[in-house]
Amino acid sequence: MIELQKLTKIFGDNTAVGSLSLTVAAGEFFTVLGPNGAGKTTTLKLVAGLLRPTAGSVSVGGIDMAEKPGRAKALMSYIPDIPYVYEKLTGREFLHFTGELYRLDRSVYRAQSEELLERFLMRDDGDKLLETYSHGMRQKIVISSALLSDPRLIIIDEPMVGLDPRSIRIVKDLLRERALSGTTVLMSTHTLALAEEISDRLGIIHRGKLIALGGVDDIKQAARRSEGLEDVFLRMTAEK
Amino acid sequence: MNDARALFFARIRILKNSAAGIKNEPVLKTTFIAVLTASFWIVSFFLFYRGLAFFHAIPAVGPVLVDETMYIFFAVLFIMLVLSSLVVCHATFFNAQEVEFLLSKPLDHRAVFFYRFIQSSIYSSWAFLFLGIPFLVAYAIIRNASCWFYLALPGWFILFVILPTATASLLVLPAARFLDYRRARHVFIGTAVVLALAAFWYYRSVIAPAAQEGGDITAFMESFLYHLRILKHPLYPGYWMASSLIEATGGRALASVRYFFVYAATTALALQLNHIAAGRLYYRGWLASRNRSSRPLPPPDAGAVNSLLSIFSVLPRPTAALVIKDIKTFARDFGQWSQFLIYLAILGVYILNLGSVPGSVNNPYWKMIVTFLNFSATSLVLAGFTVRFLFPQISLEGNKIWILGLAPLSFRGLVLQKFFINGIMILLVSELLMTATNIMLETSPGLFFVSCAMTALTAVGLTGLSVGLGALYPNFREENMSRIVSSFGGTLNFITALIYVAVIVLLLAVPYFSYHVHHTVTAGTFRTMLLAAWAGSLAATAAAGLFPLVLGYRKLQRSEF
Repeated sequence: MIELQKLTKIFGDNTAVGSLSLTVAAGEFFTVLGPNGAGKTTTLKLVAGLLRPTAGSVSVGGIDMAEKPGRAKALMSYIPDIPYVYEKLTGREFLHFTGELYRLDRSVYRAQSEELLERFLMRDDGDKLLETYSHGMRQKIVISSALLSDPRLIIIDEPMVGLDPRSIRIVKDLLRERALSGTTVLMSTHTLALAEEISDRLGIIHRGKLIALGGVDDIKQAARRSEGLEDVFLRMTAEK
Repeated sequence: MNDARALFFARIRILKNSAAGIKNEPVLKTTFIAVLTASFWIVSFFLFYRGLAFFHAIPAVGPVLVDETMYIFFAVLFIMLVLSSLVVCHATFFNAQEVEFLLSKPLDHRAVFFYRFIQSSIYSSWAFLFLGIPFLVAYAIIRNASCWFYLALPGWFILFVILPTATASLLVLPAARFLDYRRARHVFIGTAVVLALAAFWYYRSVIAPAAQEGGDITAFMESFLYHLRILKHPLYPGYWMASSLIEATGGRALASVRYFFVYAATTALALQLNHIAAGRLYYRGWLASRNRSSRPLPPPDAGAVNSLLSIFSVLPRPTAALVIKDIKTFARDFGQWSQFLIYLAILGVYILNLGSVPGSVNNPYWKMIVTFLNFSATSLVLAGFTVRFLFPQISLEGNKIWILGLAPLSFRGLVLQKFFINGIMILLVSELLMTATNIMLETSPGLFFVSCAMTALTAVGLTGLSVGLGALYPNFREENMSRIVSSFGGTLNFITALIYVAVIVLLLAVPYFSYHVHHTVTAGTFRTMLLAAWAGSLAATAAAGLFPLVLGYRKLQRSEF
């Protein structure tokens, strides 16, 4: 579903992502781990087409992002780490706006909007302005809007920031359900326990390079450690 | 005091860092900006100089008329700055994210207030810098002012812009503290309606009857100025500033200093009152402004407003969604619609004033002057409107631009949507305005048609210019419309819009004045000149409107989010 070939992104004299090659299969739940400033968000934005690569290529569903960005973007939804939304729209208006923007079937997106608001326990808040929402509520609205178009690829950056435990469980369940039904999920997180629990495969990025790739057990084995993922992660990304 | 120093020191560092960034800009770009700004000042100076010289040359009343222009300029400017500051102060004091950060620190709230106060003064008065300087220099030359006048001009300028902000903040502080956010909106509209009714009453009962008295334009102007004596009330700050400048150009230093000190003392008093009010009301007002009502709105498919907005369903779905989103955002954003209300009030006052120009003026010279002044004024109002409301549109997508960046929607489509939808509205409003004013002025059929056609062209050019430059110089980090407009791109838009209007007016004025007023060309030459003027106007519109649009969406397509 995702194919990155020698993907490179340089900002000024800082190489955020350096010659990264990676393939993520359809229906796979892939998590990107890495310390702050490792290049995780940049990688996700490159895949989402929100940044242009300095070198290398991104292909989504066999479509080259540089050549046909519109067609590639139609396959995916992106959920950023900070849920910026139109503050002067209500939650329900924002979901309907997204449905119209993507030309979704009206009856389908309206029903799905209600279902998602219900699932996130926000039905009563749906007609309040987004400016009155908490960070977590905004995050839930952005996640809901991303799921409306039933994308084949979900790119999600730090999904659990600001969410309460119940909402974390709901998001985990939703993402897992989608992955089981064939949707590819590309997630970035600092929550190692979440990555360990939910992912099919992990990739650890450090200083823009992919330094480990595989299942949790594969990574532990490669590091020749029997300790938890946290210790392996800290050891691999330790600054010398 | 230390808190204030720390805040201003940080601001100076930010400005220094921003200025350092200019070094990295291409030389061609900075040169272009410098040349454009200089050209703007030269062209504005020339136009103001010609206008004032024209009044000055009128026998007997000339010098008086020029001084009256100064009184009107400062009287209107003071009101405009107070109105503009009302909106800017509200946004700058209470809505900025920086305020939340600053008030979370152990800082004196008054220091935070005055730090934001100075920013408000700058945001609300930057346009005065661009238009005021050439006007005042033109006035000083006409009145043979000494070199001291020019040296003291920056002092007058700085002093003048503080009092309107101080007056506005004295209204905004208690309003934010004691009025509910949503109710404040109704109080604001109510006050505007009362003021509009009062102005209308004054016009109907005092100015309009005076206008009926004489058919001669000179008599009318004298009568008109007499009835505007309210603007020269000895307790009105605009009068003090105008008097100080008039006395200075006349060489009466003592009288000038006296008015200057009256203005300065009033400013000091207003600042002291602000100091007291800020200590008692600012932080509490800010806290009150956080308690926004969370009253639910009708669902997207219900309610009268949503039914009305469904008329946009004739448009392609993504376009309709964007238009409805823009309208709802506008209607729910105090900062945006309150500025719109101010513009409507200006238009209302303008039309009322036109109503007092005697329609029976038969002298072709005056007829032509009034018609062209009307066309220029309408175009300038449109220019101000497009800069204020259309330029920030792309920037206001702000940090939400990722939503559109990801949608299966091209930025070309987004920019064209903003251009067409706004263009149609601007076109309708401007044509309505031009038709109404032409009827009031009893303009000849030929000039009626030409001015309406030229207005249509100007509406297209100004819309393209503002939307295009807005896309070319977006500021996605800023949510305050006034700050977006006062950015480099906004200033560039303001200057180019005024230059564009000046070019269009001059292109059209030259053949008409040459043939109908000065009789220096034949009918054949007039037709050729008119054809050339149309060709020139089309070329200017294409350059001003379409060129920035294309550059704008190309820039957005290349942007990274």
